[in-house]
Amino acid sequence: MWVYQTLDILSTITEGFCLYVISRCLCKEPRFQSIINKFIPMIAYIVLTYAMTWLTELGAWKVPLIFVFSVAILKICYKDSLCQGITVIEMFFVSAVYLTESICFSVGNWVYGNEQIALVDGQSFTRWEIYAIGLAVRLFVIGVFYLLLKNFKYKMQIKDSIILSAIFLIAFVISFLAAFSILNLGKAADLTLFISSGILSAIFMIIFVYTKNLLYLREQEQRNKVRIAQLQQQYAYYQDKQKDEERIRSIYHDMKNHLLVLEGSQGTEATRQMAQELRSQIADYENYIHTGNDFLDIIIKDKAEKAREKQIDFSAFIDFSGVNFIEPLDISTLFGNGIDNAIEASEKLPEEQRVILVKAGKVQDFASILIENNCADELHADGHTTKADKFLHGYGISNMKKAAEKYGGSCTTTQENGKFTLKILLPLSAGKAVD
Amino acid sequence: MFNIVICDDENALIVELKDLLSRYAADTGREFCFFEFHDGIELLENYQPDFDLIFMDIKMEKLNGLKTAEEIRKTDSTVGLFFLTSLSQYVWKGYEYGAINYLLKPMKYGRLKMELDRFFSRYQGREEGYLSFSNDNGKYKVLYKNLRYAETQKRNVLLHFDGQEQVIYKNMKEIASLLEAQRQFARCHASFIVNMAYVKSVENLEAVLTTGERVPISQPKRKEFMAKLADFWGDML
Repeated sequence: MWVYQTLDILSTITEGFCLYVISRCLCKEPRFQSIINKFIPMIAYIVLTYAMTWLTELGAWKVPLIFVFSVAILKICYKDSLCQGITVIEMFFVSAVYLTESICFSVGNWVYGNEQIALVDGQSFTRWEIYAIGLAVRLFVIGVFYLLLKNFKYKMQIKDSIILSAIFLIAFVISFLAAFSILNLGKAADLTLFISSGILSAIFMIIFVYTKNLLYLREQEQRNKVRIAQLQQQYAYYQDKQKDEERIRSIYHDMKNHLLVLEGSQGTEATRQMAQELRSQIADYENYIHTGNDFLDIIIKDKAEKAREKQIDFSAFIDFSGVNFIEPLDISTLFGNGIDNAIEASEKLPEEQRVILVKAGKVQDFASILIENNCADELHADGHTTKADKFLHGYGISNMKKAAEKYGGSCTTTQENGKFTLKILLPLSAGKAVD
Repeated sequence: MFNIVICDDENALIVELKDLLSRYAADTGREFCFFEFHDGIELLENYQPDFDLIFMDIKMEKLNGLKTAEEIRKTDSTVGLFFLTSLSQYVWKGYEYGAINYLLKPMKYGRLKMELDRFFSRYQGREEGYLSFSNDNGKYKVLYKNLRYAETQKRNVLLHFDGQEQVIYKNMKEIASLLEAQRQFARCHASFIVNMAYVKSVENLEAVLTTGERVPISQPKRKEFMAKLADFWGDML
C-alpha cells in the first residue's frame, strides 16, 4: 500500500512541477510581487489533488474539479487573460497527463497485457511499475515542453484559445472515460482511449505551436505598422515646421529691409533709434544653428528648443553641407530619435549634469554623427531599455540601426562612466551608387 | 601634466575659463599648467612644441582664431584645439583643420567636462607611439600614425608605411595584439589590419585608403569593422 501512496504523491508532485514550468513560461504578469506567488499554483495543485485522491471517493470526477480549481488559482496569481490561464491548464493536462499517460499505458499494455491493475487493500491501483515509467515519461515530456515554450511571450487570442479548447475537450472526455474505468470501475481502460487522447494531445500541441508562429507574425506586423506610422508622423511634423520657418524667414527678411530704410532715410532721431532697436531685437532670429541641410536645421532647432525647456545644455556642431544622400525621413529618424533619447535620459539628472552634445560632419568619404549625453545607469549598452514597456521603448535605437544599415553604415551605442554615446557612420558611396 | 593655452583678448574670459579648467583638473586628478595669450600673433611667436591643448577665441584683433589655427596646424598636427565662440558669431568651418572643437560661450562646466573627457579619451600625449624592428634590409622605426596597413605574408607580416613596405619577422597574431591595442587599428580581415585614419571609404568588401590602395574586408568581420570605424570617426569629430 505505501508503495502506491508514495508513488502517487511523487506523481502528483511531478504534475505540480509541470504546472509550475508551464505557468512560468506562459504567464507574464504576476499579481503579487512576492516570490511565493509563482509557487502558489503548484502547491495548491499538489495539496488539492492529494486531498481529493486520498480523502474523498470522487475517483475520476476529481479531474474536472481540479481543472476548474487550477484555472481559478492561476487567475488569482496572475493578471494574464482568462484565455491565457485556460491555455496554461490545458497545456498542463496535455503534457502532464494525456501525453504521459498515453505513452506509459501503451508501454504498460505491451509489457503486462491485462495485468495492469493491482488490487491493494480493496482499492484498485495501476501497477507500480507503470507509475514509475509514468514519472520518467512525465519529466521527459515537461523537458521537451520547456524547450518549446521558454521563449513564449505572446498573448493568446480568444479565437485561438477556442480552437485549442475544442481539441482539448475531446481529449479530456476520452481521458476522463479512461480514468473513470480505472478509478471508479477498477478495471484497465481500453488502450485505444489512451492512444487517442495522446494523439489529440499531439494535435493540440501542433496547433499551439502554429498559433505561436501566427502570433509572432501578427506582432511583427503590428510593430512595423507602428514604426512606419511613427516615422511618418515625425516627418510630417518637421515638414510643417519647415513651412512655418520659411514663412517666418521671408517675413523677417522683408521686415529687416523695411527697418533699414526707416533707419537710413528721413524721419526723426526717435524713429531711427526705434527702428535700430527693433532690428537688433529681431536679429536674434538669425542666430540659429546652420547645418548646411535645411531639413536638419529644423530638427535641430526644434530639439534645441525642447532641450532648453528642460534646462538641458544643448550644443550642436553639424556641418552637413555636401551630405545630401540621406533621405529626409532617415535624417529625422537618426537625429530626431537620437536626440529624443538623449533628452529623455538627461531629464532624470540634476540640472548641472544635463548636457547634450551633437556633432556631425563629413570625414573622409563618410558622414559621421555623434550624440552624447550624461545618463543614470538605466540604458543597457545594447540599446534596450529596462522599462516595462519594451514594445515601444528602445524602439528608437533599433529604428536608427535599421536606417544606418540601409546605407551600408553602422550605428553603435556605448554606455560607460555615466555617459551614453551614440555613433553613426554612413558611407557617402551609398549615395553615389543610387545616383 | 598638461600644458594648456588660453588665447583670448578678454581677460575676464581667461579667468573664467581657468577656473573651470582648474575644477576639471581637480575632479579628474590631472595637473594643468596654464599659458595665457591675448592675440594669435602673440601665441604664434611664443609657440612651444609641448603645448597639449589650446583654447582660442575666434574673434581676435590682429590675427583671428581661424588663421592662427591654420598656422599652428602647419607645424603641429597633434595639439588639441578648442575655439571659443558664441552662437551669433558662429563660423562653422567643418573639420578641415583636423580634430577641432568648438566651445560655446557662455561656458558651462558640464559641457566643458564632456568635451574635455572626449579630448582626453583620444589624446595620447605628445609622445607618439611607434614600432621598431629590423629585417634583412635594415632597422626601422615606424610611427603608428604612419603605418597604413599590415598584411600576412607567408608566416610573417608585411607592413605598409611611408611609401614603402617591409617584412617584420613576427606572425599576424603577435602584430595584431600589438596594433589592436592602438585605437586607430582594426582587423578587417584574417590577414589584414588597417589604420582607420587612412580609410577613405568602404566599398562592399574593400576599404579604400586615402592613398588609393585597397584592403579587403572579410564578410564575417565587416559588421564589427564598420562599428569600429563608426566609433573611431565619432571620437574624431
